[in-house]
Amino acid sequence: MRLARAVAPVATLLVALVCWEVAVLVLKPPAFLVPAPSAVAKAAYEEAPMLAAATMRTALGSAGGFMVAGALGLVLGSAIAAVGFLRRGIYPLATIFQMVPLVAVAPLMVIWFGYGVKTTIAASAVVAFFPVLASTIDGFASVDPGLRELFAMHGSRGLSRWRKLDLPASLPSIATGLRIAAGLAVIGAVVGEFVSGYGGRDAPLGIVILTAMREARTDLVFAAVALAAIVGFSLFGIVNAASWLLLRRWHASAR
Amino acid sequence: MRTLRSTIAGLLALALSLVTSACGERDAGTAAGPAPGGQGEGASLQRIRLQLNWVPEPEFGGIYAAIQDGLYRDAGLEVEVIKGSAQVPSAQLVAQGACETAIVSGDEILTLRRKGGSLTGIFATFQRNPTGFLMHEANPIRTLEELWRSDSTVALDPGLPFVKILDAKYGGDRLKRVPATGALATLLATPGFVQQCFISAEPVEVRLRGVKARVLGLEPVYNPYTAVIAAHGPWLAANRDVATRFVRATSEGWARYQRDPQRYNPGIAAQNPAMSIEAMNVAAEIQRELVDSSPIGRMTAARWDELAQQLHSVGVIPDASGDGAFEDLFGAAPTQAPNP
Repeated sequence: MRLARAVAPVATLLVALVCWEVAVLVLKPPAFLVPAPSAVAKAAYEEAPMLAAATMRTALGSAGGFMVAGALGLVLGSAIAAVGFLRRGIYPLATIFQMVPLVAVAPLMVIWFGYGVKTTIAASAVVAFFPVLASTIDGFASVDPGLRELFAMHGSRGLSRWRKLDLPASLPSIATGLRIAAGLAVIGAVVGEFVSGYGGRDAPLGIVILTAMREARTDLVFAAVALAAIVGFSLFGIVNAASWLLLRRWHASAR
Repeated sequence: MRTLRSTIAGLLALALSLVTSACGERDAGTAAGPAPGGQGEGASLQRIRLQLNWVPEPEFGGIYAAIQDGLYRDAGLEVEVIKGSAQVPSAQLVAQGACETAIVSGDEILTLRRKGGSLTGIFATFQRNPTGFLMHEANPIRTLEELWRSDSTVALDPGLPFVKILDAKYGGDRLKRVPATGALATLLATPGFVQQCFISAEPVEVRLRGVKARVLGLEPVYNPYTAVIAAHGPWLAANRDVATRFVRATSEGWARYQRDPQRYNPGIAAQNPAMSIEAMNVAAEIQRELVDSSPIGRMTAARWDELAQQLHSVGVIPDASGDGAFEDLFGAAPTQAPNP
């Protein structure tokens, strides 16, 4: 059953790639417009060492941003859910993070954090933060009031109740937020790299994409974008695995 | 339900309009409308879309002069100028025929033609390379070689051919390369910082802010035609006469702009309020000698071959021929605007 579930998306991807290859063979669009998947694979093979190093740098920035967003979202979300004043005062303001046009503020981040991975992490965290925050608040708000009363009757409050009741009960919702944040973290990291990434031998995927665009090497652009997607899938997979480990014994979503 | 249907219809219309207007934002002040010289109604004019690769600035001064003085209308043309930005791939748009003409760089023509793009240069605004490196006056670096052998932090567009040419010549292993965003804040705040610039843009802004800065020009090392008007190949083949009239009107517009840029800059500033008229006046003076030629805009095969050889030497293109990169429409037989 698990194998069948894995085969379906792989088969869909293969069919899509074959259709794409045939379409390029038949329609013959200019190479700078749409490259064939085989051309993308060839570019990836020829530039493998450079792309591997760039992917590692982007993965580092994405993972950093994801962890910052996850930690901040969890802590702030818990505080906002627990304190009415914060819920009324901070939560509406926190929604600004969701509406930040990252492309517009990314150049400012370079001024604040400097060039390199710090800005990449900051840009990644800005876009990944809100889903974690919102899902944490929703998760805490959905905790069974009866259980809360039970904990109160036994004198369990504050951090103790947070650890034993609120956090475990909110985990399914938080996991959903983290899954969304995993993809966004990579998008934020690549946008951050567009304005802050070092070029030359230290180039991350964002700079590889910019360089390949300037050189009209669309095949290399597609290869770099595919690798960025793989970084996103990897983060998503790690969240899925962690959520399965934590929820498999008691929550339907992990069974 | 009606609301849902109308919303979906609206979204579809929006998507369609985005697809069909792939060339970007249209200028309000084009050459549309009846000609003052009695050239007839706009409907009888031959329409040409011109995609800019940047926002309206003095580097396009001659085009706006031709519009303001009705030169295109007198030539039987309705030129629709489409504003650009750093993100608009003007060369790719004209290469695939999304617009009839576009402002591109000389190296983009040679590169895209070898990747299946159909574009040909018909007018070169800058005869000399206006690109350079902007730095504080106090920066001890005096030559491109010193810069490229230093460990300076340099903001530049990655992937541009001149980077490969400088790398091949001077190494550049210690240089810290960061992306050029066009923002000046880092340069203003960091004395040792260097950034790629267009001689009539960033240096003018820095100068107007009272900061002492200077430019190391790329011209001695790399001197392609810049701000070239490229035409889509099939369109040019079918509309050679139209293209000839367009080129000549543009050249005359540039001649007028060179004589008196201050007369035309308020019209350009109306299209780009972010740049002051004062800055445009300064920029026009700085770029004057880079544009001057007789007639303005004409190109030679020798210059294109030289560029092709340079790009080939660093592996940007697979051969060293400039053949077909441009068409000289200045020598074609004089043409007249068609009667309405």
